[in-house]
Amino acid sequence: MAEVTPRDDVYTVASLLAELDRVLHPLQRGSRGQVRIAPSFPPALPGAGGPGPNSGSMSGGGFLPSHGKLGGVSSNSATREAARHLGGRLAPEASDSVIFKRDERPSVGGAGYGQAGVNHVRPAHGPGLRTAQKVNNWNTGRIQASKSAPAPKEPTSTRIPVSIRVKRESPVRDSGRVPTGRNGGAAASKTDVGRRADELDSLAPTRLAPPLLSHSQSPGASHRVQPPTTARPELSRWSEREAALAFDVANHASLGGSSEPLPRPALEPPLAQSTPSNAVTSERGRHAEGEPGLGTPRRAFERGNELFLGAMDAADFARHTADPVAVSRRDSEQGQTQHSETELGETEPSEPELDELSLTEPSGANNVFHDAPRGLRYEPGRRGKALQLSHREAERLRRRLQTTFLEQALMRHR
Amino acid sequence: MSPFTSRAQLVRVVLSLAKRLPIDLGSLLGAGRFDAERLALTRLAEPSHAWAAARSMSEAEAQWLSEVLRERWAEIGSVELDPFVAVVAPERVWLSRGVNSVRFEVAVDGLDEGQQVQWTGSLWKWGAVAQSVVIGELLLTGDGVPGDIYARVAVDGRAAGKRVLLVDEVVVRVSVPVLIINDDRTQLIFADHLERRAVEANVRVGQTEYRTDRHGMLRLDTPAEPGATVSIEGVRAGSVPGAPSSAGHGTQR
Repeated sequence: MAEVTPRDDVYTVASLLAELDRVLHPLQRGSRGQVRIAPSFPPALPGAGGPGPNSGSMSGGGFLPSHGKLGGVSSNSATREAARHLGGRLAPEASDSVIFKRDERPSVGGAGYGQAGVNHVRPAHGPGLRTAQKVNNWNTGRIQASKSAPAPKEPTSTRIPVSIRVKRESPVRDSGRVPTGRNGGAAASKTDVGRRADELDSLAPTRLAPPLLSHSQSPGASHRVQPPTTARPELSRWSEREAALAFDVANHASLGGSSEPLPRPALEPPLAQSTPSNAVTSERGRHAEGEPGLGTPRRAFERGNELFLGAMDAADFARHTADPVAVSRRDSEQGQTQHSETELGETEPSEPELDELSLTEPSGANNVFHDAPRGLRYEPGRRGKALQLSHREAERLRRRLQTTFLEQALMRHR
Repeated sequence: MSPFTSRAQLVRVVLSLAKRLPIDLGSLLGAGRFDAERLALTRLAEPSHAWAAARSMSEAEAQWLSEVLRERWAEIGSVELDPFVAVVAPERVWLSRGVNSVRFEVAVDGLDEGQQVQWTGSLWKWGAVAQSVVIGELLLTGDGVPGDIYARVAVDGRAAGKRVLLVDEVVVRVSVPVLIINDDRTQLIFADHLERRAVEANVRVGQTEYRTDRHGMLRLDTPAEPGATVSIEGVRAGSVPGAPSSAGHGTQR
């Protein structure tokens, strides 16, 4: 054995310090103090299988539709845990639940207002829509009756949590409540279902709010699932009139009455194309708690703008109103503008951007937290507070800003 | 700015570590996996062992290692350096004929004001009392070369309300320069009368200054000018043989 020199002893002590550091601080040096606790991934579902059986029963007493489109089956508490993580609600009886696989989601008609989010929906208890009944038809395979037919008695196990995210600004989310439990306040009785179905018949098509779920009209059509980062809430955009007005005001103010206005850009509100999944579901939960509905599409649209303004908060709104060009350019430079938009305020309604948080595929559910743009960063407290901005307040703020910019423009012009 | 040299800083850190670490992390160090390290710490708690380790390194290495130790120590606890005293003196004294002065200084850190300093050593028959600097005189005569110089300093002071007595000692090598030049006058070797190489010493050839390598050798791109004066650490070591000075190659004293 080689003789240990005093010099070696010093290096031994240096290595000892490093080893003690590793023992006392197992985390890497760069990661100290930056440990972030995010919603954990939902636990893996045991025994994820293919299409469900054609019979109406499943292990654990569940009920399966006869369509054979249901995929992953969960009959344990993992689903409940996952739903709680993701902000959704699960019926007390829903331990025997059926989870749609991503590529096997049913296609039920809709205008494309939906966006991803995990919700456990009893469609028949929705806002009383025909399409909702279709959903129920599809899900359960039991309600084959017409719109006015009374809903059949559902066994306990027919509560089917559907892993589908709904766009936040969908007017539907304000037009009714989503039942979340049989015994809870949000859960409607069967007679209530029938009554709502009857109310639906009396509504004109124009007064019908868009369906709750974002599906295409064709029940058999396949869905193209968009990744979470590309999904955008549709009503988060300004209307064309508002955008044009804001831009004109800002343009006039910036140019000081120049004869050549800047080309009107395609406004890209920084509202998140990568909406945090649990944030969406938290909104969903808020909706499920019984938010007053919006009667007309116009009201729903205003409500959508209100949500947009609230989500942006006043500072973002002022920033957009002041210089939409710079904001749009900046967003483009930051790579946050990830969707294609041909015209101002228009989106692609033909492709409902379903951003699903499938419980069977939890990957990517937490990835959006870091990339969420400003204004929609996952900040639970701030978000809830921002959404409290009412429509009147937002409108008042917008008018005040417009007035300010007009005054500035006039002063420059003088 | 630390008043100590790099080696003294390293010794201070090592001694403080050897004292503090078993107190702060004694239970952890008691694990079997740290047996070798614990023994190393025990050995380094002895100042002579720590000084031996420091003197086996270059100044740059000692400085780097002391910084590494402090950084790693800071990662696992608070760095607490004990009061320290060190004698600042040259490692080697190159003697020339006549009277040579050797300067000794004491550097103190961590003590309150008002400490007392007592010097003892081979240059002072009865000891010297000087607060910081003491000058030793060494006479080189034709009778022979004096031996190495021994100096010891004792500082009596107070730190944190407690009396502290700190001691340090040094041994300064006394060398008479010896210059060896090869035939083409491109390689010069600097050593002393005991053939100890002058490692990393400042030398001057003519009007140009150089620094010897780790073998005490100086390699020139062009041959040294004959007759040029060669000195080491300010002490004349000889001259380059050849015209215009007297011819002759080899060792010059």
